[in-house]
Amino acid sequence: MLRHGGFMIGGGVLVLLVLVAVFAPLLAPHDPFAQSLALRIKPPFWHEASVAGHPLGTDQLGRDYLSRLIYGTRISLAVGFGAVLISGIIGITLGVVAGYFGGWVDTCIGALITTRLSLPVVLVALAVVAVVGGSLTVVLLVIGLLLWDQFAVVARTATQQLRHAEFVASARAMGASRMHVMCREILPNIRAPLTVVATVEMANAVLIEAALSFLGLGVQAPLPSWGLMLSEGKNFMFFNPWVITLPGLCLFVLALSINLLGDGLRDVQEGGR
Amino acid sequence: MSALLSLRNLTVTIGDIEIVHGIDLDVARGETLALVGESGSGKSMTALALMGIPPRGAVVHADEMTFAGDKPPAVLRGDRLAMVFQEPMTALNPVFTIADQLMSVYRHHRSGGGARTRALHLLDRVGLPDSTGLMAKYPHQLSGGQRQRVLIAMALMCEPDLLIADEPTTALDVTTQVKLLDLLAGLQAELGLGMLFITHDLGVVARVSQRVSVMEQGCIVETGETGKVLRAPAHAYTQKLIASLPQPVIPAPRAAAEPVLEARGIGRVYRSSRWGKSHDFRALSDVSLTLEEGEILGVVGESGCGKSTLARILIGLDRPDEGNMRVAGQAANALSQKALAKLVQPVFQDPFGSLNPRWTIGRILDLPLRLHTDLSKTDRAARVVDLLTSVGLPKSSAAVLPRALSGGQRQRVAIARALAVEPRVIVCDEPTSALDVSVQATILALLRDLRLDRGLSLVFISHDLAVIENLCDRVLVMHQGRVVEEGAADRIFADPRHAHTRALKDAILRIEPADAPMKEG
Repeated sequence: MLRHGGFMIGGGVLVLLVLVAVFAPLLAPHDPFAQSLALRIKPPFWHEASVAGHPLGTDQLGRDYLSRLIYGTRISLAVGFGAVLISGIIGITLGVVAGYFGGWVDTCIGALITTRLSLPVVLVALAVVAVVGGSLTVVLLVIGLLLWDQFAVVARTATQQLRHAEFVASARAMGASRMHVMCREILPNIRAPLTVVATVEMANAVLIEAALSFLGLGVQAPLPSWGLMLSEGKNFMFFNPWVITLPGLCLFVLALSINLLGDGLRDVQEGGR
Repeated sequence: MSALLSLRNLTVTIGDIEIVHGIDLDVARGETLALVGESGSGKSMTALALMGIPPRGAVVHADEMTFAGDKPPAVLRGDRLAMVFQEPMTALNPVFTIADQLMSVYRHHRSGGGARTRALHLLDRVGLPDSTGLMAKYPHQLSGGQRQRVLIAMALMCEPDLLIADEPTTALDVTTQVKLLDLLAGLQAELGLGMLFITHDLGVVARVSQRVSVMEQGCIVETGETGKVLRAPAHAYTQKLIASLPQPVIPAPRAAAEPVLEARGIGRVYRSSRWGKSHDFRALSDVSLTLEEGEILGVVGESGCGKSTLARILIGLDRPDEGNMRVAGQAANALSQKALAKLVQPVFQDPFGSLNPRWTIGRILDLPLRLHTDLSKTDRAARVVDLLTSVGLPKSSAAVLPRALSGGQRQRVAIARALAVEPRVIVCDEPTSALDVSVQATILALLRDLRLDRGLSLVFISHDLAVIENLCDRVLVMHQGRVVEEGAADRIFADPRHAHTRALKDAILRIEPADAPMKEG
């Protein structure tokens, strides 16, 4: 596992970002909400016009950009992990139940999956947020309740393959309960594809949150979400391109590290069989 | 006879591991050389190296590897050198017709027409009726035996001089196997082919080959005339292989005992409906059996005869549509799965599939104890050690995952798991058919010992009559979902009454005329 380059890089960056999120108050040089209109739109340190104390410059309200990016890590990771947790629980439960029981249970859950697949995620999220109002909790719940389809599809197929395995038949012939067979015999054996789905969906959730925030229907100002920073920066981007490149770069690095980790996990688990 | 294929000091290495250690082989025109060995002995690797298609990462080296005295054989593959593979289900491309597949081989190596005529001629020659109709069919429309015949025809399309057959009959039913072996032997003699026949089965060796090379762990340990090697093996490994073949045993007379398992008129119909039309498939009709305390009842039949469905019904994984079953005096349909599990336990065929790959052996054996006893954790751990010891495994194996064990060891774990709840009956569904013959012998011996020590009653399901003859007191012969013959094992083998039983008996491949059966002590 430690020899896999992608896994190590992705995992390393992700761990680093988690540490940044956890220790944000210690790492951020300024309060991310403190405004200073005198120091509006100051460029980062490599520009001649940069000011001391603000290494990555300031935004249109004079807030320290580095501090806002550091606190933004918290929001992206919270949405990423939270949404995957919710959608994973929903999707894996439905998928394993459908795959194990088959018949009409499978037909019903299959219809549910098809219904979900026919809903465009961003549009539905936009509609819900527009009705309920945007906040971090709402965004997290909406994304979590919409991203379970891949979990369900993968868990269902993997369970169908294992349902007739002889070790499953042995456990049933032993008198083990259905719950035991599903949770203890089948679930550990479909872990590998599900972790890969989890990483893909986590990157997805982070990007959807950014998109919603960019459209003004996600996390609300003044919270420092990377998507919101992109949105706020777009009016200034022609003369001050760094206001959108920096948060964009953060999103890119986070999504890339999650995907590298997922690919690495898949390779390592397949190799370990 | 001139040497068709000669091979000197062939080594195959993958990574740092040498798999084939410098072997020599010669096949003359018109002779069949059998290469026999157990799984992992390197015999398939040798064949792939000869054909010039070694697996990725394998490095092949040979001092000499020539075909008909000059060219390396790999250059001529498909043309003068052809191969028949083991798995008839996957060796044909499912999206092309038989005609496409046969004729493409010919066109690849020969210019001009005549492919169709030759294909039709060969399909007739390998004993397939209605060759014209067959040409338009797809592989899934044929049975396993028919596909293997098509593969043989395909190998013969370009009139090869040498045929390499890698376990060509292993995936087939025993009666089909005999027919195909005789076909191959006939073709070989008629066309003057050289044949390298790879197999794990000494009975097959005796049937088809003139000479035999015995392979063990990448080395050829003995080569000689087939008759001589099988009658008087010089090398210890060959002796061990021959001694492992199941020999007929006359069951010791047993006093009549109480029936522990009784099934009456069992029937099972699988229904499926599509577009409102229902299709019924009758897997079992009117099957009755009685298993007495301490008895081993053999159930024998070919694939699709319903024996696995019967096994699933006996262990409660499937419910019969007709008939009833009594276990230890209680009606089975009144028992919960858990209560039935306490009385009847299974041992399955595939030692690689029947143990959860993510659980340690200790945890696998702990599960039945946790479900069926109220022992404390330490008592259960002690019982796990007892169970491992009783099937001849070291207690250290409790800590490992199934993948650390060999096939035979895993099957011992599966037996230990079945013993854990101290059931009255164990139903074994082909428990040795995935194992090497020497391992099979040890598993059969273990089952026999367990019967003696614990008075276990066994239902032993197999397609292999030789194994049944070696182990069972009574035999049930199944054919197309029905019991066609039933009786004491010695009677069935001495005097088979049903035509299907006779066909099965004739399909037992022995390395020599059967000796007088051993008496059981």
